[in-house]
Amino acid sequence: MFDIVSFLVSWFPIFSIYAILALCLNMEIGYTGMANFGLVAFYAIGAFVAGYTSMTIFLSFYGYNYPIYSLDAIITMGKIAGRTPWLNISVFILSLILAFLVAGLAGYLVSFPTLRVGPAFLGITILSFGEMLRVFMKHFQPTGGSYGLLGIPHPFAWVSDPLIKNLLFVIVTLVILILVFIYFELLANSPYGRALKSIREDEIASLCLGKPVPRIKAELLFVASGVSGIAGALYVFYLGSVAPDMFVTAVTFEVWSMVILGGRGNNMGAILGALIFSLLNRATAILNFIFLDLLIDPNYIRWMITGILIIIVLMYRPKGILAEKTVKTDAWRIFGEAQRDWDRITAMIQVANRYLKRAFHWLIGRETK
Amino acid sequence: MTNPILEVRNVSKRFGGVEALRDVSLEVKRGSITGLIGPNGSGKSTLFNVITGFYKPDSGSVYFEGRRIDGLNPNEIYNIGIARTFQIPRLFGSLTTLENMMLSPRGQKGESLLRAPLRKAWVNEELQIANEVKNLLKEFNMDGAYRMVASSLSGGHVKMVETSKGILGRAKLILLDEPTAGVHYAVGRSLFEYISYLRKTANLTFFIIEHRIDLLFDYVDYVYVLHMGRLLSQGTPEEVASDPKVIEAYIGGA
Amino acid sequence: MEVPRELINTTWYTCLYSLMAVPLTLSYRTSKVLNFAHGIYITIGAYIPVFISRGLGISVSPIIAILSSFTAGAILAMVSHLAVFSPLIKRKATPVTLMIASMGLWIFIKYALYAALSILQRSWMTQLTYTNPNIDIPSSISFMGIEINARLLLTILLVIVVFTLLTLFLMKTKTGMAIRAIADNPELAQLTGISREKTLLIAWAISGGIAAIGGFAWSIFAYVSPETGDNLILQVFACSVIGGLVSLSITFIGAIIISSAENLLIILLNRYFGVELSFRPFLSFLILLLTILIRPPAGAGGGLPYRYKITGYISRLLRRREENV
Ligand SMILES: Nc1ncnc2c1ncn2[C@@H]1O[C@H](COP(=O)(O)OP(=O)(O)O)[C@@H](O)[C@H]1O
Ligand SMILES: [Mg+2]
Repeated sequence: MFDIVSFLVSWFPIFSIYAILALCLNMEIGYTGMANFGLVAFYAIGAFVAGYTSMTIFLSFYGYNYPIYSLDAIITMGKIAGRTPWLNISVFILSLILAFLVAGLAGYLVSFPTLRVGPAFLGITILSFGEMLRVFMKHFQPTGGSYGLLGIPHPFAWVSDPLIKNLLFVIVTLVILILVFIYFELLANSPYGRALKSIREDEIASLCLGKPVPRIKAELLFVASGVSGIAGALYVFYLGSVAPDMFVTAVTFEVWSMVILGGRGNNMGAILGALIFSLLNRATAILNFIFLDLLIDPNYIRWMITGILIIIVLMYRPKGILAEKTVKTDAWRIFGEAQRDWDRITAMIQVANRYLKRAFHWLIGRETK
Repeated sequence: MTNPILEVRNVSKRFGGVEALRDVSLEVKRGSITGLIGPNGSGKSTLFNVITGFYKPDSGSVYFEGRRIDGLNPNEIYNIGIARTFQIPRLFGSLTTLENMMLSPRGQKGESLLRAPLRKAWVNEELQIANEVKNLLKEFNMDGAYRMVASSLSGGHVKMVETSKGILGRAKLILLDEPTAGVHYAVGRSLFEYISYLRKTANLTFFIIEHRIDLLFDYVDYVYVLHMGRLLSQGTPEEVASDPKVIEAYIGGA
Repeated sequence: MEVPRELINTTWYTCLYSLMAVPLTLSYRTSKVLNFAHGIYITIGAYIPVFISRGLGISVSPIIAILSSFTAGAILAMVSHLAVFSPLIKRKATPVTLMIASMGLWIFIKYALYAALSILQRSWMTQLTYTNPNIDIPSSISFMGIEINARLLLTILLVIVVFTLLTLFLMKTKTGMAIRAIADNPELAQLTGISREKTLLIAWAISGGIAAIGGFAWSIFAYVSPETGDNLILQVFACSVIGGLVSLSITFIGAIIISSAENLLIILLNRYFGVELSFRPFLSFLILLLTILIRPPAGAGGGLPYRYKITGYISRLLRRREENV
């Protein structure tokens, strides 16, 4: 009765998208202490950039000049989406890159007015930015106004078996999640990560130790916003559509709850939080499906639980489920401390590297020695 | 070299009605240990804050190695070679002692976003700094403290870590704000021993605010005395100690 | 005599925004908590008259509606303080932690309201998620031969009364002075024997209550939904930021600025530059950004204690670029 594969296919991409977002927020709040209450804005930017790019390229490649939000475009996309595998894949990759760059740039620019002000003003500004962007997209015709875009080409639309198509997408999101995780772990366990934590602890003292605090904050907002943009792009390709009202402030809050519950300053914690909340999400969806006419929408209950849970965690277990760890650099070796986490990551990278090499050699038809 | 490494010219600074510094001019000679004393509230810490860019002076100017530095941001001043410690230490509470101290050296390669994920680019420097930290901790008899979280250190240890951070900064000029306050007398003396050892071997310059005048006078070359925001007296320790104005200020102030 | 529609709107929104933003500034200034749940106090204030009029099937008198909105908002704010903020502050939570907690509170109350509405909708058999209360006000009154919109008049009177009382309270009463003392110098106030806990509680009650009155003022003109407060939060924040989250009177000026921008400036821009009217919120956001850029509220919200020189930052960036070339 319970079909594990279809569950995986429908749940996993959402989980990894949220996990990526949680990792980004964790870099911002957990490491650097920047209260990004407008995370959803960068997620949305990535989503719209991906939707816009892929639709435009596809339509112009096949010589149609409908507006990308028109009904004609949607119908045409249904016909042409599966015709040229290489186009799907390259448009997908290009969209991810553009989503990263545009969202990252937006993050960088938003950091600018807030370089000098405290967390309260940063919170207000970014939160307002997110809300404003949503309102803006609702009135922005080139991406379809409040209806958004439909018919965005799935990167594996050319695979005829829907199950395999979805499984391929699961694998892609998994790979991206792992890459993001490794990158953030490397960043966090380096002198840079240490500087980030010093900013979180006391930005003035950090400034007096020569750390260019405003620049570091801007850089980090660039990277983390860019990666959130990638998550947005993945979401668009997963759903096949994008609309402004998918990006309400509540999404930001959902990611915040993941990071708080999982453990601020711990990347594994962020992923754990995403796991817990995405399962909770699924559970309410299933409840909703089974009991059609509930007095109270289970989603309301879920949100109430989320809100209460946050407050309880902040009060009784402010570190979250997985507490923060020290910055693992080689410095600990001098003091004779084991480097288990560090070694594990290095080993992981080496293994990944080996597989990549093998795959590459297989592609170009050469034996791996 | 006898030219001054640091020059403060006619600096004034007010906080509302309080005139914390009034037309203060002084010089710190390269390679010297210079002292700064004065009763509480005489503006010593404020002077340090002005030198390190923490506050902007209302008037006057500050020169470091002949370059005007007032008006630069604190991180820029640190990066041209002036390290400072705070009178009330500002350690990063939830980081360990090791991490706190590792943060000090300026211009670390691994502190750039692009190089940070490439371990090879910074690992040697990291090991070298960690070695320095280890030696310094041994010097101060705090071997075991490296893995303690800063907020759980004892008051004396906090002060020593703060001072160590100043020393580790790879600076040319180090400003220490009351390094031995709250520290055991013998430890304070060994700290000063270490400072004069560093001055000789590493060619560092120290500018030190200190309340334990007996301790300070055994090690400094030159002393400035501040009183109510004004420079009251200056000279070698002997000259200052016998200056009637200084004696009066201290007794009058007490 | 015909008063231009834009002018009426500006006045009306000035009243609304000031009723909503001034208490936000007050609560931040006293408790140092940036309360994202503020919007929900507004929403609750707007819903209380709805509940009374629909629940009892009557039309409520404005006085009763105002008083009950105030009471509900005040209770909600006091509960927020007692149950969430005060315990967290005792545990030495950072400002960011408090902000997150307020966000948790906001989500909780908001969806509790949604849940309550869906139960009430069933039992009362009426639509409640997009509604308006039945309040006993004539649509217009004649005054010396001039027809005046009674609702607008009531709102203006409300603003005058509320802020006069607030000023008198803060300036003349002992509790009011204690609130100001705590806002300006918590440690010193503690030393002089002011009970911090009690004073904060009163400050919260007042700010929640006034915000709820703002919600009431909204409900006599427009439809009420569980999103009412959230939809206004951007403008409310902008007003408070203009006030630097410190000054109540500048926050009021902020309300004038924001409502003029949204009702007058946008008309001008529309007429002469063809800017769409839907771009209203951007003006508020723009003003917020400009305020932060031009007059960074140093100190109030933490952050760097002096003005970090961005110009130095830019020129250094440029210099680096030149070096690279
Ligand atoms: N940030 C500040 N705001 C207001 N007054 C200050 C500030 N910093 C220092 N002061 C005042 O300046 C005077 C000098 O203080 P300080 O430099 O700390 O003295 P010292 O270090 O010699 O004991 C004191 O009267 C003090 O109250
Ligand atoms: Mg001092």
